[in-house]
Amino acid sequence: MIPVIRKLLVLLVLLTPIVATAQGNLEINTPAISALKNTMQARHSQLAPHYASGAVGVARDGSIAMRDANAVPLAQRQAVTGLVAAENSDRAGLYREIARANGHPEWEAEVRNTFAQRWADKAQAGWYVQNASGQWVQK
Amino acid sequence: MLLTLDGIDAPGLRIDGIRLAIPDLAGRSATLSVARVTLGESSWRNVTVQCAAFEIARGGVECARGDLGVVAGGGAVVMPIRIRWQAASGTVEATVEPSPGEIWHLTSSRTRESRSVRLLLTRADLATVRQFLPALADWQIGGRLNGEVTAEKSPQGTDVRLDVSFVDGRFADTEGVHAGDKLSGDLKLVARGREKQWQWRNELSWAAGELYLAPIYLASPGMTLTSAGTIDGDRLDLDTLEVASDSFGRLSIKGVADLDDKKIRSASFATGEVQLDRFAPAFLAPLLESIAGPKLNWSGRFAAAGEVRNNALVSAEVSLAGVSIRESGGRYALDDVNARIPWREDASTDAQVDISRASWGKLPLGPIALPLKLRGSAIRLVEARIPILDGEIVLEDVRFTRGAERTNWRAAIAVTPVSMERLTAALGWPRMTGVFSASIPGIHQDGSTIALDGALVVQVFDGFASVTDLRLIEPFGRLPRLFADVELRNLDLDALTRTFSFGSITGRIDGSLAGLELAGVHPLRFDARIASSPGDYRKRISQRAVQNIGALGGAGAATAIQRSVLRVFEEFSYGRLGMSCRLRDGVCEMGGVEAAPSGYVMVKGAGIPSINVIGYNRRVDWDELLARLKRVTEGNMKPVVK
Amino acid sequence: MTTGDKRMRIERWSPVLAALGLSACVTINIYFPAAAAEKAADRIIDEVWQLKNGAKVPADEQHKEAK
Repeated sequence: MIPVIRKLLVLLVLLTPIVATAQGNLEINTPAISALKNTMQARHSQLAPHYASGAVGVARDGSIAMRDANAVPLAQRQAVTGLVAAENSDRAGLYREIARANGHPEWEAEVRNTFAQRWADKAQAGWYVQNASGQWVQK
Repeated sequence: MLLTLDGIDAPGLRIDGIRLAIPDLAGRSATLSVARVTLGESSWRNVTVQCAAFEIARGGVECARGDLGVVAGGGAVVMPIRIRWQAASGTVEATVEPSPGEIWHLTSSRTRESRSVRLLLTRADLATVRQFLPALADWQIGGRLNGEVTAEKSPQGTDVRLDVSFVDGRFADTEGVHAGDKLSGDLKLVARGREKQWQWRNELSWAAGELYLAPIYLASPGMTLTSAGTIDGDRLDLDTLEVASDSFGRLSIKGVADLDDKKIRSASFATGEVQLDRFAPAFLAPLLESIAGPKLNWSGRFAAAGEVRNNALVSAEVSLAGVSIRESGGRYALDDVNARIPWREDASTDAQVDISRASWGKLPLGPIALPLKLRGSAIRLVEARIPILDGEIVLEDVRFTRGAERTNWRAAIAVTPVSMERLTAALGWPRMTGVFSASIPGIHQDGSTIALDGALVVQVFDGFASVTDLRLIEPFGRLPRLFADVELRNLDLDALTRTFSFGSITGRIDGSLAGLELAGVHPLRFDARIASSPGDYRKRISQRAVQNIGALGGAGAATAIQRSVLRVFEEFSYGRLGMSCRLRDGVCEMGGVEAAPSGYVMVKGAGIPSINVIGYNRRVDWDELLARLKRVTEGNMKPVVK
Repeated sequence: MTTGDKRMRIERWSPVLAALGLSACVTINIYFPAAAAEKAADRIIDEVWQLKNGAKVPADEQHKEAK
């Protein structure tokens, strides 16, 4: 019996560091992630008024979406559509890069889901957030 | 007195349960109430007219001043109305004035054979209509109409004519994805119906205003649309539909569709010659922007035609003439592109794309001839030879597949020798000699990664550099990453040092740059090493080069000779030289050809006069090292040798 | 007899070992660090939306300017 227990212990000891690293922090300080973060931060000042007006909402899949374009003057709608597309392209890149930076490209979808939840939680009062059934709810 | 009437039936209009109550025949007031009015698909109950100036005259009835009351939407609407009925001719005239200056004038008349309705509109407000039409409740609409609509029903059928002009037109759906504002123009429509079959012809001209059909925005395009066809039950036969516009020329469509199934059975479309400089900013740029694509400037002309069957494109042909596409940041450009691209869903086709000139950064390419084989969503290029300076890029067996999720392509590329002298001049780099050539048996993109099988070989400085395991991650992303291993063999130091004004060193070096990782143009990590090549050759180093190597080592670096000695000789001989840098986290861990007491030897002397250069800084900030290298090669620095 | 006994013991334990081995594989390959990911997300979102220095005020100001 004892050798078996010893084997188990050895196994546990071998496993511990792997589990421990997984429980620690995610790597988010790569140049690619920083570059994406910076462009998104710069873009936020342009998007913020549209979140506030309800034209753009925080979608449930970790992206943003044009919710009510009527809140934007006709001539500017195209530009806002472009902003939304650029933001979503950067967000997709961000989720992919985080998964990749941590050596698990297959985590992309889970990273996206985690972000989707946190974007929604952190959205400011007055902004629109899409709930689980796809409806827009004002925070 | 109470008069009741079963109803009136006119084309498209039905009025049921008409009651006229006149409390006092001597008085001049009356109440007309209608149980139901049906116009087209819509109907309203309990329509009343309170008449304050009522008169029964010869052969008719007239209400010169009344109020029309309708319960619609959320509440009751009351509007001034005038009505006159002539018994002999059966003519009814009604004039409604919802607001001052806004007049809806309806005339219903009858002959032995036919019955006709005529509606004259003067500054008629669409918002007035909207409150009566629940189908439009989700849409915001407005605008003023002038003109007339007539409908005549006879045994031969029903004729409808519409001739209205609109100003200040606006509409928007709930999400604002389709919207228009300040629209003005004219609409003419002639239709004839018999039983379930309607034939029509129309002409719509849009002179001014803005229109947004996501993601496309059009402002005052001077557009006209004409169409003609037949609707028979749920079958639509579109004989012709032509859209003509200042911004994109002409588009013709015809076809047959099932309206119930929303299915296009068969259709064909063709454009005229479209000027890209006007078309692209309105149509292509927003489409590219909506997928976060590149910003491009277009000119030239294109034409397109195609066929649709059962809601799917089955064939198409696109031709380009004198097209020029330039990335607005100047990163790449294609000039004078001429192409004929036929495509069929069920067969493979041959397309030809000819590009007179192209450029990638400062590098000119072309002319390029691309014979393409198309099949479904796959594109294949058997071979193309692209002239680049005095050499050629040879593309072989390029296969491109566009999937719903990811784009894949693979190719074999070879670059036949290009003179480094011309290449570096074209790129604005320091002049180098030698030749650049490459043989890449496989390059492929899978999703967001481009990888190379095989080696890129550059013959330069009389030796060669080979690049292997080259991978590009997110090549079109915010920050492209490059991974590679580089080997340098037998480079001529004399040519190298003179090219970069580093003083003069005779000899040869080997080197390696292993595990190179670049983010954009900034290196993240690598293990670099250069050292004298093995073999027997002349090894001399100039005083200036010695000083420069010393300067690279930084303040802690020192030459193991006396200043006086250094001054006496212009040139020294050396046994071996070399440096290494292991870059991690922005810090270069430096080394030399061998260890020295508390330092490392970068130049190991031999012969007479001999010299040793020893570095003492083991950890140097990468940016600092680059700055030093820049200062040294620009020759602005007279290094101080301690 | 002794060797047979040993084999018996190992066989008795083998399902446990197998189960542990399996769960170990699961832990290494598929385990997604949800808590760490949430923490990472919070840090990035705070920066992008500038939530740490009272970003609500600038956002509202921009809104007014835009109008």
